[in-house]
Amino acid sequence: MTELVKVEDLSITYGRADRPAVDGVTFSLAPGESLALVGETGSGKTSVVMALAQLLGPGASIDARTMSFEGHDMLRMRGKALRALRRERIGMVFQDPFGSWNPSRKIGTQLLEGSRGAERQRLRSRLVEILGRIGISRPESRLEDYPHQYSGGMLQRTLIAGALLRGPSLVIADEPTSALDTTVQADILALIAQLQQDRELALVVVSHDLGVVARIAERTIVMYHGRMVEDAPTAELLTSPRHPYTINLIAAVPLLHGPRQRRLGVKVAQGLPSLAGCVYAHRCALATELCRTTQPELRQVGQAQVACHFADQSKELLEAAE
Amino acid sequence: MTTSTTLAHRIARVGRRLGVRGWIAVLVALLIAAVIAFPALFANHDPQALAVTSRLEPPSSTFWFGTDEAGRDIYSRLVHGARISIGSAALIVAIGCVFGTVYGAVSGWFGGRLDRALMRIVDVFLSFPYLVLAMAISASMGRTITSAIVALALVWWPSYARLVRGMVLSLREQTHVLVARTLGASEARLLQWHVIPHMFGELRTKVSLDLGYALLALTGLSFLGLGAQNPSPEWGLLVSNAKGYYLTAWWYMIAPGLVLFLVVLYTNWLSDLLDREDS
Repeated sequence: MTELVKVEDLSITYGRADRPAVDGVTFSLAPGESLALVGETGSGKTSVVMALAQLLGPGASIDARTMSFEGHDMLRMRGKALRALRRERIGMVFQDPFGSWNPSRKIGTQLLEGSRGAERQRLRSRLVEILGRIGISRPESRLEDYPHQYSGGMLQRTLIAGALLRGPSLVIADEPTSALDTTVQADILALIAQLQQDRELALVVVSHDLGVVARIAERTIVMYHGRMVEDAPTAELLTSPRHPYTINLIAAVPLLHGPRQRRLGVKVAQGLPSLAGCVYAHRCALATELCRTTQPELRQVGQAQVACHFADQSKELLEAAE
Repeated sequence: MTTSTTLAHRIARVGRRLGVRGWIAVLVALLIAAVIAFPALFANHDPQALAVTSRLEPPSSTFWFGTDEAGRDIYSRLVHGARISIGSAALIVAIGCVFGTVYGAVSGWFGGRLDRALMRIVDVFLSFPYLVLAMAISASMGRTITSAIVALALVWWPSYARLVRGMVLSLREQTHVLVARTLGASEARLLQWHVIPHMFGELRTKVSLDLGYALLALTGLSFLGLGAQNPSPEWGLLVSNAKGYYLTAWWYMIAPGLVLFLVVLYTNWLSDLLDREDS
């Protein structure tokens, strides 16, 4: 089997064509592979996954050379076919467990949305089984409860159960643990990682938290201002980042032990980045005239793909610039 | 954890939640409804019976609110006029609310170019002073109560369209709508279960407030001669008829004015009560 997901040159704009929220994003995903999208608020990571599932509203305009899932052209999927594909093959988990549920309807009713008759009965017993397996006690009666009778962690577990209910090939998790307590976060991450391996699911997780990424994603894409700046195996990315932005993103993670990490040559951003050159140029100590005028393409450096003119020696240059 | 769903339990629960003010509001609403439904039970005279011998009599035990220039009992005329005035106001709000809600929901839900086109039409309506527009429409359709109702309903719906569109725009972005969509809910079900129920709180506040405003607008049109015509006991018309006698028969104008005032005050209070109930 070839790629499960293939995205080429994806651009998304909200109203202003000259300021794309996502610009030229390209990646593919094999069945069973886990991928993380990392970046700060507004970097476009959520827009990418929402566009992939065709969940963006009419305010967004999506443009791509290719955007396919299981061989379906997602750019052209509409109406019933789209709804069926999304329901059967894609599971989604969102950030806010409390906001993810309609407060006025029973959990079970919401999870079994869009099914009826014999199929509903079958899904219901399957749901009870999944809920029991992921640590919800008395799942049968819990389905009759309303969201306010659940805790945040349980709501998130239940949402994951809903995402897995119909046996999808892809699960998209948008900041699945950001709204949860630290201890609950660890449980949920372990659950996602385990389910992903057991069921050979492909997983796309969106996060700003490198700790989350390190635990569940084999590969990581770093985004900045709507563009991909680095795409590498997670272990490689965390140990030897190449892009100046990635280097400083990793250096910004507080450590419990060891010396405080030094951030290298970070400048306070002056205004919006210029889209003609490298989007990180306005904050980068290495930025030259070349960076400001010519957009760096993603290129292979070691195991990583990096969009930086100085990718081969960025770390050394940054240290020298300090 | 078990929720009792029997009807008796539900009624008891609602009763406890109402509180003193809630009960007063309900009782007044029932009283108004009864007056509208069975005016003959409340009136003590024939509202149209002329009596030359008892013209412009002051309030007394026979004529509670006095009589008018044709000797008709003002109290009985007010009671019979309630159906016309309040009923018409309710009709205006009902038409405006239903049409405006559907219009606004469609506009907000489907968005894009359709939304822009639909909202420009609303802008056109909202850019006119609504009462002046209603007067123009009503006058061009003939001076009847029906044309006043149609005219006011025509100028009433845009405010609902605007309100509902705004709510739909924010509700459609809620995560639970997104989740239901990914779980396979159809657009109709999303609207039915995830959008529309969450607008009731604000809609009922506006509806109750608008009942009073529509009543004022309708009686205003009648007062100007554009709505109900003699010998209808419509309230605005009563005030209009009374304006020639306010120096000699004060009760003639005070009675319908006071009743109007109290009903509008009630709708305002009710709206405030419903609004507080939300939070």
